[in-house]
Amino acid sequence: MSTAEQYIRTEHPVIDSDPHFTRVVRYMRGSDVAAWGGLTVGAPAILLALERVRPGAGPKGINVALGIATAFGFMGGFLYSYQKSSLRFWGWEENARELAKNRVEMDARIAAGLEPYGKPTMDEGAQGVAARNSKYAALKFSAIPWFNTTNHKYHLAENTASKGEN
Amino acid sequence: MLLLGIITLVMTIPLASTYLSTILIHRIAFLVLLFSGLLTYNTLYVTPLSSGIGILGGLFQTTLLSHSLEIFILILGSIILLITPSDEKIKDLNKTTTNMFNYWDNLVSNSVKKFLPIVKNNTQLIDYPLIVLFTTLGMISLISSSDLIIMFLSIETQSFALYILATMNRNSESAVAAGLKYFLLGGLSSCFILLGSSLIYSYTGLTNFESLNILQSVIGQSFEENSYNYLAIGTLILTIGLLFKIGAAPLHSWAPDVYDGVPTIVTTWLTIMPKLSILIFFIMNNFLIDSNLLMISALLSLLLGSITGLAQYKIKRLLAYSTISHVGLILLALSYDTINGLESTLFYITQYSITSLNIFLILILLGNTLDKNSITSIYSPIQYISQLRGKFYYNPALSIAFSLSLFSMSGIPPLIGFFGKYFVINTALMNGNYFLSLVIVITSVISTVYYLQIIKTLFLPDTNNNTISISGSNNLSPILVYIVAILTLFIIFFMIYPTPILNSIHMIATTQYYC
Repeated sequence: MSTAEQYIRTEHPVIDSDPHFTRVVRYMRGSDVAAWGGLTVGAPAILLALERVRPGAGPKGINVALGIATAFGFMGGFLYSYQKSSLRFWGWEENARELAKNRVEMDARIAAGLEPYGKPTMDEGAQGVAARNSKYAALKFSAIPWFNTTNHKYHLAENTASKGEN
Repeated sequence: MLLLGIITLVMTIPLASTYLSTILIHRIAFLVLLFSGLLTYNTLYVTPLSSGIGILGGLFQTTLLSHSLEIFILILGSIILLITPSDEKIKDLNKTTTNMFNYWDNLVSNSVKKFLPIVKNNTQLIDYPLIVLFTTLGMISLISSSDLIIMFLSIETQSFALYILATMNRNSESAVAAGLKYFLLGGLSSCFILLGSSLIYSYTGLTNFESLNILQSVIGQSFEENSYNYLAIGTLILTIGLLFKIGAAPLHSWAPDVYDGVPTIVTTWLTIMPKLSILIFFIMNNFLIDSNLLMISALLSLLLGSITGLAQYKIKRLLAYSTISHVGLILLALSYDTINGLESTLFYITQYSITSLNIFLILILLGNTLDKNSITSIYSPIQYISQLRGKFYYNPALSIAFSLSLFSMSGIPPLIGFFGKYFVINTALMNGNYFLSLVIVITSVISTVYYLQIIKTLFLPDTNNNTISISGSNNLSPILVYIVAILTLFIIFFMIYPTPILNSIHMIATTQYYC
């Protein structure tokens, strides 16, 4: 099955079904960044709470563990925020602000004579493979973090980029 | 997240094992599972997921069912990870030195020796959380796998980690023997899965499940044609391999020996988690499964699990036979390709996993109330049913929770287990299978006998007096006690407000069946 060609029922307009990594990060809302920060702090807080209920480590051990938990909180928080931003690109969540921002960005790129989704560096076949691999990959972030880091032409953004390539 | 967690812990454990106790590594792994669950929950949207989405080049297929059950698996896994080795008296390990440590004791300088108690503590089960993360990665890959190759890789990722888990306590002869048996028989079942997959591929040229499903629905009636008989043989052999993995009769002989031989903390994982992922795989890809074979296996599992369990005097062996019997019920519900069958399967899996987890948590907690001089294994303090004698007088709350969980397992109303059995019987009756309905009722009565035997032992006066004083029971892990309390309340009070769970299961089953 080609995942580059699947159409999914969504409640909101699709902006980009496979947004580039940098675009997802740029389009993050303040609430996403706050959630990222919250989870970064939350992970060591949970560890401390468990330690309070049932002590199981010395002072040095807990310091190291808190450091590791913070790192996991940071990674988990980033993936969470990335998912939130991706969900808006896919049209699964309310995305009016991102829709307007995307339209302005696309129009500006086209006016400047640039490719709307960036200049592809790979041949068409490889672009298809890359798109199939990274499209909706954020759904499986619980297991494998997989991002779109290539420019390709498979975005299924039928109603967003005013003159963009779909 | 799981992959990141595994990579980070693989690097961290050797670097920081001097400072990190096993408990802390357990808790860090718990956090990884918790975050993974959060990430799955974050993308749980009914409308887009209802028709299923192929990801990672179509190797995985995420649906509402796979997403929901992934969250369930991650929550259960994180709860099991909260059972830290200290709850199994791991601290006593300091007294048991292995040859390796005697050797090191002679070699290392005094400055290094101060770290040795921690190192000794960690050696046995420090890798346990890491292995658990590996097996969970295999499990959540399996439930959403959409390709024969990914299916096999996921099963092996899950199974290899389980073989290591089973042999983790290398000081125990029974654990090593059980682990070896598990490895050899598990390897054999993997061969069956591989053979089945190879046959399917060689006669269809396909590995993708969606393509196979379309092919199978197209050929439908023309199954007699020679080349497609091989497809049927392939699915039959594949089903046999998977039934082997979940310990369904008549391929169950390894299960009681393995469950009994390994530490209780590992038994908890083995009895619940690997089955869960394979059963969900059955649900997700029922076209790959031979339903007649499922029905035969279900019947045998019900009979063997109930009758053979009567002769057991070791608690974990008895629970292993009980598991076989429950797997029979799940397989029976699964063999009906109807929406009712799917709903009853999902409900039974949910209630069985929760009740079984509660039983093992209580067993571990009750093990902590035993006098350490009266136990033969620090990893499995309670081995015999007779060791539970008189526990009610030392810890009434835990004993009552244990009894209620066992009553639920036997299907006594109004506990959650009753509803599970009721739905399965109802499905069998609605499909006109009166004989199997009668078998379920009879085997439930038979299995109630051995559950009652355990409950009777709990409430008999303790003549051996091998339990530590009530004040000694203060060393019970409060975290586990809270979890047991929540799970027990859920088992009891499910009937008062069953709507959220039943509605969720109905919605998941409807989208899986019709979309």
